[in-house]
Amino acid sequence: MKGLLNNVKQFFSILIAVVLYQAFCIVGGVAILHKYTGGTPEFSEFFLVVLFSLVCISGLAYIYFWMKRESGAFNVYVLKALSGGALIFPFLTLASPAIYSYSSDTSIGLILRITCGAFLFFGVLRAAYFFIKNNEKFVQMTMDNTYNKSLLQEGDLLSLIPDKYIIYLKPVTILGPIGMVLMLAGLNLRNVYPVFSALSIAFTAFLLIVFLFDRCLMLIGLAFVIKQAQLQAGVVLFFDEKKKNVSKRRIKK
Amino acid sequence: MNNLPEKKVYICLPGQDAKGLVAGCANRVILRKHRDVVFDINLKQGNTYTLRAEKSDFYNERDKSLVEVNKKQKVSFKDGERFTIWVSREFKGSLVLELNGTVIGKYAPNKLDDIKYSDDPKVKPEPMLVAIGSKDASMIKMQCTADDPYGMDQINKQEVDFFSKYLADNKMKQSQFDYASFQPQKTQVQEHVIVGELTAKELHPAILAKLNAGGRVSGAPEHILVKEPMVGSEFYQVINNVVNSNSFKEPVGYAQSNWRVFNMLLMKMYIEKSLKGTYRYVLKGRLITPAGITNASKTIKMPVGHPNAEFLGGNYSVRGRGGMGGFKRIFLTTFSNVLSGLKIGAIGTVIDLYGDATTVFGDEKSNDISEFLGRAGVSLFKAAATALLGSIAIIGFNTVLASFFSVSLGVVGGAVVGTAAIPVFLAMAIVIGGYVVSAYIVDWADDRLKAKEYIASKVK
Repeated sequence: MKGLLNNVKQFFSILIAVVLYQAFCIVGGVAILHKYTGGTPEFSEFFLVVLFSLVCISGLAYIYFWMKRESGAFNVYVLKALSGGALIFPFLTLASPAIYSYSSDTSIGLILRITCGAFLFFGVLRAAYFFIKNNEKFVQMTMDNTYNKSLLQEGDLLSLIPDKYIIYLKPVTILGPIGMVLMLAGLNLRNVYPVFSALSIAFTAFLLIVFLFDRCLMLIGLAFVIKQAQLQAGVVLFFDEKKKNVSKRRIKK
Repeated sequence: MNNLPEKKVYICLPGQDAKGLVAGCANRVILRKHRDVVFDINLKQGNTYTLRAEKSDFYNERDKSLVEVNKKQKVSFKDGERFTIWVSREFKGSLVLELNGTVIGKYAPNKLDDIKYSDDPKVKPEPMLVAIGSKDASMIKMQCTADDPYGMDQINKQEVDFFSKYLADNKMKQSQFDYASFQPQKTQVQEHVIVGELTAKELHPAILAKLNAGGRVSGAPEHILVKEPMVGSEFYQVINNVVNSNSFKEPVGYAQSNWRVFNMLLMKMYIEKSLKGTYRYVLKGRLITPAGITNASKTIKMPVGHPNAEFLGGNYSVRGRGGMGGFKRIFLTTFSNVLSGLKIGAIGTVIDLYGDATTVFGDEKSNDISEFLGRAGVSLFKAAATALLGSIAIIGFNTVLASFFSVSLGVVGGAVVGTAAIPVFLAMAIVIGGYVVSAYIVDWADDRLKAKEYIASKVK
């Protein structure tokens, strides 16, 4: 009884948190839309339905995997990917002024959209190529790393990813402080220089969106590696909680 | 006269009776070479020391006189004086050194140097030096390094300096040994031993039962002791003294926070119950730094907030998850700083006020100060509302953000990336981003309500 009560309590607390989080982002998005397009926002009904269903699906999925996060390594990794996706959401909201102030008719607007799209498309292609190419190897290595029938170390799983694969690390580390300064400037100058503000905030947001998106794809890939290893071995894999922080990077040749 | 048979008679000291002279012979009395015994005593100025022999005579070089045992003769010399006597190679018994009737030392030259010298008068017995002195212990400055964890190099060097002063003496130069280039044997510390008593509270229950049954226990301290020593207890003082002493400055922080890893410092504990009912222990072993054990430098990664960095200070105890180090702390610090005021929005407010001023006094050519005050009031209110909403957003989302971070950043930022820059950057971006979104929401609400125009029209 107490366990059930705890579960219900947990469910509602995470539900409220997720709803609040999304509501804040959506209200912020509406406010920004109002400011940059002027007048009342003109939503098409189709757009509203799509947005609403997307929010609902991602929120419910997040809650579902949150509740099941202790019942297997695959769920944990899906939850991590969803969390990364949820982190992208506010940054998309922050980037929207730049998108609104330059419509796709203008050349700057076109460049913005093409650049962003190219980065995201390239990320998807890269992740797909990487994980499909190394699929058998990764699954085999994951099965080899499993011990006590179904225990797996997170460090072993992460060591499948070579350092070479993480390409956005250095740019983000170097440009991060600049992005922070630009973001603060954008916050303070948003009424005086709205265009500068929009672009400077969008720069930082874009940096983080690309970084987080890349990482999300990596997490999804790892989740599928876990799934395949589970199917081949016929067991449910769990992370060894005691050795959670052990990161064993193996030297690959 | 020349035809008389020759008879050689040897004496060892000047003024000695030549025994065995034969009448009717050409007696030749030959003085054999003697053994020099030098006394150099520096204990306290003004002291007068008395020297006597137990069985044999000796010769006082200073007064040029023989000191005879049969007549119970003694010689005295002053502190700091370099006093030399001669003794024969057949000296028996000991020389007795006294201060005010108290025996300081007894020296038996023929026992200290047990070489049997031949009758050849040219053979010179080894000289002997009795030096008693004091030196200031505080002059010893030990320097502990990885190669020399006990700082013995400095002590050995002082020993050499101390001896070389005496060994350069003329008398000692007559020795067949080369004392001048002699190096005293280096002192080498093999083990440390600490002896003391423990109370029953400080011992592990199982060990206590064993001890009460009359057994003896030995092993690593961490298996014997139940927990950290209580502050002020005897064992605490001992550990503190050992660890805080000059020789062990280096690992002080390490040992203080990880004192139970004493077995790692190669110390072993022996413990038994005494008749009085107390528990006596002996700590024995080498107390050196972990780096000193292997005698090679060892690099330990110590990111801020990591347990490895604990000895740097107690301030970084707030930890994130999965090696995330200071992320949680930075996030919380930023959050509390922002909460306290309008720090982030301050410049924006000033610019906003300037804009209001140009609107009132510039564009509209109005001299109405009350309109400006009304608009300025709205601007200040907006800034306050933004800060408030941003803070509420961060408080409200603290739970969800924390859950997102704790789940996702373990991988998104930390484990693979291995640098703290990304999570910090991300946390900052979330906080400032929350403020940006809040600011837009407040602007929108302001536009919707038209508060500025409404108040301006009211105060006109």
